[in-house]
Amino acid sequence: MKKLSDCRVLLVDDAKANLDILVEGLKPDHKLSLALNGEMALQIAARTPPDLVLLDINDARADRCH
Amino acid sequence: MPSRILIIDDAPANIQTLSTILKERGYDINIATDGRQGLELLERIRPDLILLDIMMPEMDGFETCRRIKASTTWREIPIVFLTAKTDTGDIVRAFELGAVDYVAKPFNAHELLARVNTHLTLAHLHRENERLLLNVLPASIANKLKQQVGIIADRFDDASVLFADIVAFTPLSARLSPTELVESLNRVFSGFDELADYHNLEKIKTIGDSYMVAGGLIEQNADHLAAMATMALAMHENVRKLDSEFGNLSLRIGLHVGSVIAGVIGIRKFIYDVWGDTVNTASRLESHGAPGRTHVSEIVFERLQGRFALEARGTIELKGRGPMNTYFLGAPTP
Repeated sequence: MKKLSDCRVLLVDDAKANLDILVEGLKPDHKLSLALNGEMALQIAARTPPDLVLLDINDARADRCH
Repeated sequence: MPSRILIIDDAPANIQTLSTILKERGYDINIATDGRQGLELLERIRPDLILLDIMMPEMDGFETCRRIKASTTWREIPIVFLTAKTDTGDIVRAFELGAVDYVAKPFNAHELLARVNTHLTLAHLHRENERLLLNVLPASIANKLKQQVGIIADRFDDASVLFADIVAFTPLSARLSPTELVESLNRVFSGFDELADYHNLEKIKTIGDSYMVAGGLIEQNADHLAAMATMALAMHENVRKLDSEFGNLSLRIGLHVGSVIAGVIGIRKFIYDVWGDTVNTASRLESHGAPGRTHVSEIVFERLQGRFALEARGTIELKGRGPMNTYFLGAPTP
């Protein structure tokens, strides 16, 4: 079975400052993927499937739950 | 069946509100007004989820959570904290103690119901996963697989291995429809599964129309060889009973005992399998056997002599091992 430290978290937020904070907090324990919007998140998730997604809701472009 | 939710909270107003909204959604409710009472209640009921307050007399929510998570029978029940304490420290502590969620009071009913529903679904999926895994692997191996990354392999110096093959199944299968074929195999092999469980032996796999069982692995059954011999006799009996339905069905069985390597192979569709010379010999005994008989090796003969009737078969040539005296297994001696 996969080790917890091998699990990948996909962080989706259009505010770079938020991403920075999340990266700092999560980087020691997990593999990370970053996306600045929903579209980018879907592309990344298709290429490198994450084990968990942290998703901001309000996006300037499109609501990311779609 | 509706899901059952245990509310542990000391404030009557909270209990009232929670009960009303949860009952409206069709949940069954149990109520305890402090941690100690909650634990007492758990001895009698089996909730699917627990809503737990933190500040309570007698035993607070943190201690209650700790005790529930320390119990092997209760630890899988999801716990959602529902509390007016909203310091980050409290929230982190709740998660560290094993809570699945944390809802601040005053709460919104829709949000609470959504969270409850999510956690009930997750717990259900988790149980289903466990059930499937335990269908494929022995419990101790499943646990190892969950904890350990890498190879699971053990050597067992005294393991018995049995192969059973349905004689002339191929011509029979040509006459049957696909449904009839699967149904008849399923009937035969399900019966064998039950026998293996009953005798505390490990079903390894089915390969086409043959069935493989091992004993003396993790289940620590000291008399696994005698159990295997008894199972072999019962397997013949089972197939004889089905005889009339499918025409002439009979079983050829081979049984040997010795050292094996057992382990899990693969990432997908993995199985707990056994390998080694003992396995090859058991398989060879089966293919060189006779319909309706259990063909065993000399070492099996030596160990079961006096407990079962055994009849000398002669010698067979085993690839790489030369000639070997073999026997047919009979009924247990009175």
